[in-house]
Amino acid sequence: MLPPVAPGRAMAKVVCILGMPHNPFHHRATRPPRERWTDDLRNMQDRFDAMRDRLRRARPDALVCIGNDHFHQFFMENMPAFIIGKMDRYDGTFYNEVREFDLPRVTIPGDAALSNAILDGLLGANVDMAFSDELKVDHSIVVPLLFSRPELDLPIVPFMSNCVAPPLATAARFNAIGCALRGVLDGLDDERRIAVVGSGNLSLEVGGPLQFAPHPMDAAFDAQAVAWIANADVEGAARECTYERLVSAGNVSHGYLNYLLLLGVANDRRPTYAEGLRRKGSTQAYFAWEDLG
Amino acid sequence: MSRYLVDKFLYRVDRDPAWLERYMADPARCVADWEASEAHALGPETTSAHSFTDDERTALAAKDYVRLYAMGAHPFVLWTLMIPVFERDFPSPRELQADYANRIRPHGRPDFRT
Repeated sequence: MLPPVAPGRAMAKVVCILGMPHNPFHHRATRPPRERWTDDLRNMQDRFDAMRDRLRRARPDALVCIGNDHFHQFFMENMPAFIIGKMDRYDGTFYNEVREFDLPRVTIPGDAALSNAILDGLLGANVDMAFSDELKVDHSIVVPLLFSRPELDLPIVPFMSNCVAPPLATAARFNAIGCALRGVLDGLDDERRIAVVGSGNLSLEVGGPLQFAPHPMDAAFDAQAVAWIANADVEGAARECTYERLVSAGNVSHGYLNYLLLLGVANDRRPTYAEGLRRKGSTQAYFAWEDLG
Repeated sequence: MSRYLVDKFLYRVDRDPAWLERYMADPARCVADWEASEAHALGPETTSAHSFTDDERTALAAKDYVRLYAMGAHPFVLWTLMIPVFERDFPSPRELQADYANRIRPHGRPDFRT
């Protein structure tokens, strides 16, 4: 349990929570002039534009960014289940992301003091977080920011999970970690407005037999997955999202677990916006919890 | 069998332009050199628990991704390296993606936990 907050203390406010895709191809896809875009691409950009507007309306002072490293900094010799960066500046985008996706190398401000306060709070709540004083962030953090806060002007606290190298934490644990994170954010002695920007995916395959098929990997899973968030059905999600079920929906479908973490950050309340946007090769999820602050 | 070491090779080579160039130019030589100099490196230290089987070494040296996939190499790490290795052999990424998926499909979804 966290210590009770003393009356009269400054309190941080979680003002908005957003969930979106982090597909690394989106940046390159949206480089040509808009008049050359397909309807499919316009639909996607409309969703990201709406996310950008929501974030601007929430007037955050700092962002907690939830993502997952894709074998960039972390590998199986040392694979943290959940790790938080605590630096005053983050470099983003790795060599092979430039090579394959033309993603820009970026520098994003950080806030080591805020990271440390969150880390201390989580450890105090018996969440055994790993931490990093030399964290580089990949497209799971960079792409959502390029679309929802392209100015890259707000200090971030990166919070990464392992969604790619089994064994993974359970779906219930992802959600519980999100709840614990919210408890810590609510108790921070910090009067700033904090938004949480998280990314993940629905059914998805990379490097497997169904990759780049012209249809979603598992439309039934996608519909359920969006509904679990929309209805705040943590029990249903935790029951159904076993490792094996997620693999059967595509070998990297575990990126969905980060959305369950976000639901936890929302105290397991229903979002104000939830959509599974059907696109050519996948369904993409967009979630928002607004007017929190 | 060392799924871990196969994944380590794929991961390290993909993320290092100099090693990637060596793998593309002469894969067998690259695998031998990497095994001799990098396979057991842990920062400035070394470890001794993992070594390639003959099958793994041969598959890596032959860029035989179908065999590597079937053996349980991590699909994400394997594919990520095979993009630069094979993309020039195809008119567009779409053809490479389809060809790759078609070739590994008979092997279903092997367990890739290390």
